This record gives sequence, structure tokens and C-alpha cells, in this order.
Amino acid sequence: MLVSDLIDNVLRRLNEASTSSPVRWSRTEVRYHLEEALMEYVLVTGDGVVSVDLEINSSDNIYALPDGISMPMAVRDGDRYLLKYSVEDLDNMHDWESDTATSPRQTIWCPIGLSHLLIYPRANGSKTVTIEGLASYQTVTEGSQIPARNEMLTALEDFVVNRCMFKEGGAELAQSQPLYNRWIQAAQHLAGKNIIRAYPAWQVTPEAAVSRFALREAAMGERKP
Amino acid sequence: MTTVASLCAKIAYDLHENPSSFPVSSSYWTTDEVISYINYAEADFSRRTGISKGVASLVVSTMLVDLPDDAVNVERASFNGRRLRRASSWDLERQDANWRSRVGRPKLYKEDRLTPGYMQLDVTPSSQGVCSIIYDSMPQAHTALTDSLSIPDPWLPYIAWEVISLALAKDGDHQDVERSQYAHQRYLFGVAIARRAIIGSEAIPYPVSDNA
Repeated sequence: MLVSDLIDNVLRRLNEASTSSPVRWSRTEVRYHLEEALMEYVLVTGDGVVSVDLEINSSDNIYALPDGISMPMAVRDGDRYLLKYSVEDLDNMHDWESDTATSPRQTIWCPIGLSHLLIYPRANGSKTVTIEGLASYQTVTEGSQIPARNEMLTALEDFVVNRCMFKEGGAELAQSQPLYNRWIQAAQHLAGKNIIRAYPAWQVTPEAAVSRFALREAAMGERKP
Repeated sequence: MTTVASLCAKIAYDLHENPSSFPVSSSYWTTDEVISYINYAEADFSRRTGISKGVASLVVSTMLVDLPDDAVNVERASFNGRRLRRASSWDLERQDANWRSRVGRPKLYKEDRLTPGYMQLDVTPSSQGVCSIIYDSMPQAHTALTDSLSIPDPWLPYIAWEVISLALAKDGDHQDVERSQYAHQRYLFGVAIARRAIIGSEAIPYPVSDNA
């Protein structure tokens, strides 16, 4: 679906007589609200994971998160994933800061807030690693496709209609609240699906073996010894 | 990065203002006032979520370490590449009542019983060294509409909600407490998402091999 189509739908639901020359809302305003919906969509559902390259070198461990990513989820060196630690854990295992030795293989990464990340050990020269994470803010134009799953388009429309009604305030805002609730329910549903889809991503081991504490077994109380 | 002016243009719609000239031509809110709302929202969001971290290397030769102006809370410190453990004044007093006169290689640091903006090492360094810190960072206050916003773009809708909340809470003909409270709730929802993102970034216990 094109952005312009969704804007038309929203304006009709807002009882604008003309979608091309609306009176109470402008098309730009509705598009801004759609961009807000898309940002919340990514942050709540975990959809929209992108890969961005990061240049690392032999003299640093800590790097600012590259543009285009709002939250790092994994780091790859070529095709191989690095293990994710906290800085605290890494401190307890390695004297990483005074360890100036370099290596062609990076094995560990740690998030530092949502603004930096740490990579260990240092690279043996300038090289590129790949950061996977939630896509950062993106603007849309009327002629672009909506960057979301098809099944979420109606929920996004609900979000935007409710968002537009904020300007009206009072009873009209209150009456549009069920639309926002529908959006939240759809987003939660998709977030749950995405967790299942990703399983057992957070259990990546050097052997890449599936956890014996598998989700189904745990849910059924059949955890094996 | 988004500028203060472009965020104002988006906020203008919700305040029934002209987006092409808000806040300059507004009769209800002044430019300085709206910028102060944005500063408030960014500072509050940073304080509540801790998403923005700073990294600094400070040259140190005394016990007292002057922290960067934007530092709120030291998360990790090291001296010449060796990690410093966090301690309190009580710890240091119990360990050695004369700790303030000791000279050597620092192993601990503390932040209590000090003027805000400083941390203190457990000994005076025997020679000048580099203290590296990772800390929670507060955004710099903006003064002009052309300034770039400090909070990363994905979180700006929530900054906008808090600015709208503050604007609508102002006493006067345009006051709308109900919408102000609603906007604040939407802001808090963004805070909750950001906090979840931080907590979700905690590492898993490493690496549990299921075949072991």
C-alpha cells in the first residue's frame, strides 16, 4: 500500500469531504502522524531490523552506534555472530581495556546504553563489522510504499486516526481511544510472534545448538534434566 | 539529526498553530518558552531512561576527579586501563581511616559525600594517569531553533508529546489539562519502551552450552 492511499483512508475516516484538499487536517500533518506510527511500530514490535556496517580499528574498543540503527541487537564479523555480554561480565572475564593485543577475529560485543557499543578484542587493522538492529527513524513520502507488514496496515491506520483526533480533544479524543487500543493489541500480537520467530536467537552458543530448554518443553513443563 | 525548528513544525499542528511560523509568530507561546519545553523534555527523557551514554578519558593527578559537565552517573571507571571498583565513603573509612593521605595506584572510586560533578579515587595517584569513564549523559540545552536535537530521532515523537503536554498545561485561554495529561501519558509510554530497550540489552549468561 502506498502512503498516499493510507492518508486517503484516514482522511475519509475523519469525515473530510475531500481527500485532496482536506479542511481540518492537512495531508502533511497526517503523513507526520504516519511516520510517528511507523516509529512506534518498530520500537514495540521489533520489526524492521536492518544491518549497518561499522568501521573498527586496532586502537579502540568502544564505538558510537552508527546512524540508521536505534537499538543494536547483534554484531556480525563476516558471517559469524559475536557473543553478547554486558560490560560488567566482560570486566569480570577479561582485562579488556589494557589488553591492546589485536586479533583478526572479534568474539564479544557489549551494548553501552543505546548510543555506544564495545567490541573485543581489538581488530588487527581497519575492518568492517556488521551491526544488526532496529531501524532508526525514517521519513516517508506520499508515493512510497509503507514500510510495514501488510497485516499491520489497518492497525497503523487506527493509530493515525486516533493521533489526528488528539487535536480535537475532549469527547472526540476520548471516543477515538478504542482505535489506539486496537493498535496496541495488534502491535503486542506481532511482538509476541516476533519473539517466537526469533527463538532461540538469544541462546546462540559456539556450537549453535538449540537450547534443551526449548520453548515448547518449558511451556509444557517437560523440561529435560 | 532533526532540528529544534522541524520538531516545532510538527508540534504546531497539535497546538492549532501555523507550522511554517511556529513558535516565532505564536501569540500564546514564545520561542524561548518552546525551546525551554524541548530542553525540559530531552533532559527528563535522558534522566528517566539512561539511553545516552558518554565516554571520556580524563587526565588525573589528584584524588578528586572533575567529571564532564554532561555526566550524571558514572557507570564504569578505570585508571590507566585497570578497572576501578565502586565503593562508598563508609567502605573506605572502614578499610583505612587514613585513606585520604595514601598514595599509590587507585583501585576504587566513590561518588558519595562529594560536590555533584566529582568522583573521588581511593588514593592519590603516584603519577599522573588517565581515568576513563562510561557515564549517563545529559543532553546540552538548546538556545536556537537551528540547533540539532540531542535525543536520537526514533524517540522524538515522545519528546514532542511531553512538549505538547507542557504547552497545554500552561495557564491561560489555551490551557487544556485533559489533553496535557493525555500527552504526558503518551510520553511515559515512550519512556517505558526506551527502558525496556535498555533492560533488553542486558547480556545473557554466557554461553550456556546445552551439549555440555
